[in-house]
Amino acid sequence: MEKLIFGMNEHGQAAITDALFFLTIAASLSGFLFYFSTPYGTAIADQIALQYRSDYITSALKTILYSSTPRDSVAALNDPNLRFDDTSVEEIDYLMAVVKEDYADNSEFEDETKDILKNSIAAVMKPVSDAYDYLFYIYVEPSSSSAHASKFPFVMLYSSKWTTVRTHPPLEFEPEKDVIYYCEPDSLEVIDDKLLPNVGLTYQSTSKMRMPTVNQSTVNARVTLVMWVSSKLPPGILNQTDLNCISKEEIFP
Amino acid sequence: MKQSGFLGPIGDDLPSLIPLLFALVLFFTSFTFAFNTFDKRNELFNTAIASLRISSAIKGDSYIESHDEFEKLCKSVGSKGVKFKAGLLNLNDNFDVFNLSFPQIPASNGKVFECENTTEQPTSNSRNLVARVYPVALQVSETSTDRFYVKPVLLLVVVWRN
Repeated sequence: MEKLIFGMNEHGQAAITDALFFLTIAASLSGFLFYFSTPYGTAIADQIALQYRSDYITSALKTILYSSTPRDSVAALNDPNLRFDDTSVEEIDYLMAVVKEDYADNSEFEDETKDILKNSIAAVMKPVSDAYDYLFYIYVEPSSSSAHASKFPFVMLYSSKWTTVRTHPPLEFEPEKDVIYYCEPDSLEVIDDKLLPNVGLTYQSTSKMRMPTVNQSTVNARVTLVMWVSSKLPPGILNQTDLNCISKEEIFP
Repeated sequence: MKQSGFLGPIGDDLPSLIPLLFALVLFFTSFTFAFNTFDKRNELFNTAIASLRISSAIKGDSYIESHDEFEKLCKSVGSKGVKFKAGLLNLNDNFDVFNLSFPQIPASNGKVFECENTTEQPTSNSRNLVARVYPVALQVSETSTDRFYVKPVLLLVVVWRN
């Protein structure tokens, strides 16, 4: 009897076992398909975002360098009502001409020139300033004719501020006023090795220029604009003596 | 007793059809899901790449000398498969992607710097809507003299598929 019962069930068990093997293989293949399709394209998306941000920062620096400015730091070139015959604006000149003229005087920038630069840069970067922070600096390369000149006649840092209301998911942030700083770093290494490593991935554009000096020669200089996704800087880093940043203006979000 | 539990040569295999069918449904469902995912994402990437290409063509070297030059840059745009609208805005202007209108740039003789390959406006149902903003320098010239100044403005490019 046992032999008969065993013989009768054998055929059906083999078919079910085969089917279960097939189900296992199909489930494994489906799992692989799902696993590889979910993150598909993340690298491409990152490359596209990188390309856009690089294009933006390059275009922003070019726009700043090409722009004209009213000689009056209070007047705004991006005033939509500005006209050639506007009597409130006495003179308009290239921004870089104003900058170079001021530098040639005493190898430093007056406060009014710094404000003109600040306003121009802030206006150009405004479309992205809610999500990105940036650093703009003019660096004069050391030479015999500029031995006593400031290496960094102008450094501007735009930094977003916020407080973390909830630290566990879903994260919640309360925006605070954004701050523009003027800084006086000791060297390029302070920017490259102390400040920028704390902000994550950066997007950078640099342009060379010649700056006239007091003794009617010229020196090589570099204008750089660096942008990064808004991030919290380590506390106290901006107050350190080798970076020496001072808060200049607070902007409400 | 010889027949108990024995349904027949076909009937005995019927229970094995259940996991077989389930396996087939599972495989083809995941295959279709993966295929649709690839297809949708490829379309999104193609639109995003098209937006970068169109922006680069219109932006040029980020210095726009005149309205004629802007029109020339506009004509150089290749926009196969996508619809786009582009134009210049003042730095302080707000814009609504679903109701695009570009203002007359003051002191540019009342001309509107606008470039498009369709008269339609993008809607909330438009597929793969991408907006790109770039700062550019616009030369604003006085018609009666050689005087000009260079004004920073925004180039807005909106690209989508229907």
